[in-house]
Amino acid sequence: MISPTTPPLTLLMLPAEVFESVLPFLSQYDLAQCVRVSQAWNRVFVPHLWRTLDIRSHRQLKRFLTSETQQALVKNAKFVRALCIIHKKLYHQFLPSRQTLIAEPGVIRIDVFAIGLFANLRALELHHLRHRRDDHDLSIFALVRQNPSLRRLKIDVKMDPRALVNLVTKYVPNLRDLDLSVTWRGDVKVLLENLPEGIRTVGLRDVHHRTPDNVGKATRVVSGASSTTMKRHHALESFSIGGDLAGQDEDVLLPFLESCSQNLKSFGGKSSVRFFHNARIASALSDLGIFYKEPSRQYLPPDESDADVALGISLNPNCTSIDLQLRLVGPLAAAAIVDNCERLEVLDIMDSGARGLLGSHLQAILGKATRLRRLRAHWLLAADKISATDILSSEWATTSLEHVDLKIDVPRVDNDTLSNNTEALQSSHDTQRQVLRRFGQQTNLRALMIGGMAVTPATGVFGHQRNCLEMTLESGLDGLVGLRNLELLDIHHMDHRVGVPELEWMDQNLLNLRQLIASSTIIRILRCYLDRPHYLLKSRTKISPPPRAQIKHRNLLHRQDLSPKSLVSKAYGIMFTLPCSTPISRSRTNPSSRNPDTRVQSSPPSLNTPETPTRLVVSLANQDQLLLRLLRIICESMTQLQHLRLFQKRLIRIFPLSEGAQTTTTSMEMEESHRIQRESIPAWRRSSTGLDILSGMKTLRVLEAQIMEHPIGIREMEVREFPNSQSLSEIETQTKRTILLNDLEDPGLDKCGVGYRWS
Amino acid sequence: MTVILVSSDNQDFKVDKEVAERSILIKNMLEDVGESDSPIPLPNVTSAVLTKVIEYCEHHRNDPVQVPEETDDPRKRSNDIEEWDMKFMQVDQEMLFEIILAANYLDIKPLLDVGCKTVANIIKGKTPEEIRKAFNIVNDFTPEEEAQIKKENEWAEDR
Repeated sequence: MISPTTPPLTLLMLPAEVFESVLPFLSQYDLAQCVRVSQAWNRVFVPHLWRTLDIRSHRQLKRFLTSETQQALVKNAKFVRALCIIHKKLYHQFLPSRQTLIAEPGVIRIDVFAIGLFANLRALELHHLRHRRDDHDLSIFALVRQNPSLRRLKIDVKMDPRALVNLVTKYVPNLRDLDLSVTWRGDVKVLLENLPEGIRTVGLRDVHHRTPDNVGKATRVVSGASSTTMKRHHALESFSIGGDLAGQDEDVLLPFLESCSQNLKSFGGKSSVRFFHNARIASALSDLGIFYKEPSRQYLPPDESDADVALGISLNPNCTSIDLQLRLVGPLAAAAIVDNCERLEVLDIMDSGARGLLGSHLQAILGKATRLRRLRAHWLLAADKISATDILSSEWATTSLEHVDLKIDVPRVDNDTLSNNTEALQSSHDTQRQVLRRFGQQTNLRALMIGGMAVTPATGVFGHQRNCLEMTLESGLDGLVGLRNLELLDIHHMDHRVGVPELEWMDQNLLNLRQLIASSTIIRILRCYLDRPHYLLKSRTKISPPPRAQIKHRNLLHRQDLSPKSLVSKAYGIMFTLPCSTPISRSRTNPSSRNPDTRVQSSPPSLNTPETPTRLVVSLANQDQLLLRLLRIICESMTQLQHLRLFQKRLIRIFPLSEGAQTTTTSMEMEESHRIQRESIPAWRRSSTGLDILSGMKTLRVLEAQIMEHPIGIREMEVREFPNSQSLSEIETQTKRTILLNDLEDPGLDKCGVGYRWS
Repeated sequence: MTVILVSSDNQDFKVDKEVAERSILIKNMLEDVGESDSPIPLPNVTSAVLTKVIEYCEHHRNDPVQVPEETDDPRKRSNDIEEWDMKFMQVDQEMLFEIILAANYLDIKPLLDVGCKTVANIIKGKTPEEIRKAFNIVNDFTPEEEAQIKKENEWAEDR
């Protein structure tokens, strides 16, 4: 009881057990300061300072070998609990010295060891010595014998194999942790069976089994003794073994495993996978509750055969994770995975190359593995298709998918020619919708990658996967609406139809989406689109910066990029808002320009603010739907626009010819292509054309449209040549031919499109 | 449900059972006694210290119960202290030791740890002279003794 009369409490007055709980938080350096504080502190701290004697650096060694420290060592060696010997000099000093009493020929030699410095060791580490010296063996022996309470022993020094096995099996009765880091050749069976009963962890880094016939007498004696009294190793928790058991795996390991209990939690070591391939050992291990958890590419030898991998998998039906290179998975292994996937949580087969695993296997796994969390088989499509219909053919067993990375093949109407085969289109969309809905049910999904580069079977060309999911709202993107946890979505190589509505949908529904991996076009659209204040993305949650490795991805758009500020600085390529006077004066000075546009020149300069641009340049890839949407946005938001220039390969799609269009052509070939093009525009697309949209823009005076593949027929069309002038902007210099469309405000415009001239 | 704790100077402290049970000693006591309104005497803890201890337990009432981890290796143990705990521990040294004592007696492992870490942090990185100053200790070594002890233990100063 503390009363006011007691003297003030100090650190040293704390009860020993309380005081000692401060010590673990102090380093040896701190303790070395504490012993110098005062007599009282010295008395208290010295035993703790000397508790661990671990001389590593040469500077430390030099300081340790001073005469003062040597005297102190004699005084304080009794405090040492953990001793680590690395330097040769210290071996001489720390090991008990030997005197040979009788060493005459024909007479038994008797070695007597002086009582060594240390007698209270709990942990002893003997590190690498270059030269093996016999007397060290015996001295080590003596040191160990003088420390019967040793609990931890690490031997990384060459010793006579027999001496070592005797040491470990006879003289360390309290041993809990054994770490044999040195290469050892001897009877592993005897070593294992005679380990002390209290042992908890055993690490044998590199042991090479020698049958008793090949080794000396001493081992045989021990062996004989072991057969009468079988030791138990019920406390063993962790066992690791590396090296070579000379083909006697069963003989060596089975009796030992029999002596272990269910306390054994970890069984590993270099090439320990081999043991799981042995049916009897694997069964002994599974009796102990140890299963082949991770057939991993790191542990399998690169030349492991398909049959071996299959055997390893089938012998260990409880494994939860398979992480292999595709090369290792032949037909047998693939079948084994399917047969044993009920408990599977992770299936990761990511290397490229074609062997046994097929799409049908993956479907079977999806149908069986109830705990599947992570499924990665990205390169599989190169070998075989994972078809949407097959994936949909059976229910999925798991609802806990978190990470999916594979490529799915869907029937697609050839997306190069706009087919009017509405039925096929509809059916393709239905299939895609179902696939996306499946994924939408996996509400734990955090990363979704279901498309990518692939070999096109017909051509053998490696490129965009032709039959990927469209990822558009038309094809059921909204099926993913339940994926509230989705953080990463990869639509790179599958986004050629994704447009603003899709991006807007993702933004509004995938609330945790942090990273969208997409082609540069989409990224540009996103940036440009979001640059319009009208459609600005509402900043929602605070986003932590993504891992650095992912930032490097050139097409990756991070959500923090979407702030208006960064977008303004990053918007490029797709839209330029330029002061109207500059480009117009350029086109006017163009010597080859046949008909300088005077009306544009007269546009009022006061409208040249970024919010209401009067001139706009748009350049897009082959994304007609997208361009239409974009035109709508332009129409709605840029009410002052007077001059619009479009760069797109197939403008014909959004500026189709009206039915009664009269055309003048320079060649029959051109007419033919024209006709095909007109017929190929499906009705559902024709309902809304670029002209329909743009005709709503009352201020628009000039529309410039680049023609690359097909001419467009427009009334009063004008062909101009742009010079390769350096003063023009980059995009302009790339332009060879431009068609100028005037009089968009003309009420008769929607009936335009009658002729064209090709320069 | 509340529990009444009585300090060594006979002050009553009414606290929620959940808060009081941060102390394993009290928790075991309550389990042994069962439902009872009788106050729990804590003859080893003064009211000043008990006030602090209760403040700590109140703040940490919802912490998950720590699983004692066996870290034999002192180098693995971290000296990091949470910000609130750090402020909480800004008391004079006598109070610090009293809190440690009380935490030990009441068996509140996280508080004991925080206390020990705080003491260790006072020592860490300081020279012997700075430690003396920090703990108000008189140097009773002769200069020769001091030199000798420095030499004897210098090997341990390499970090």
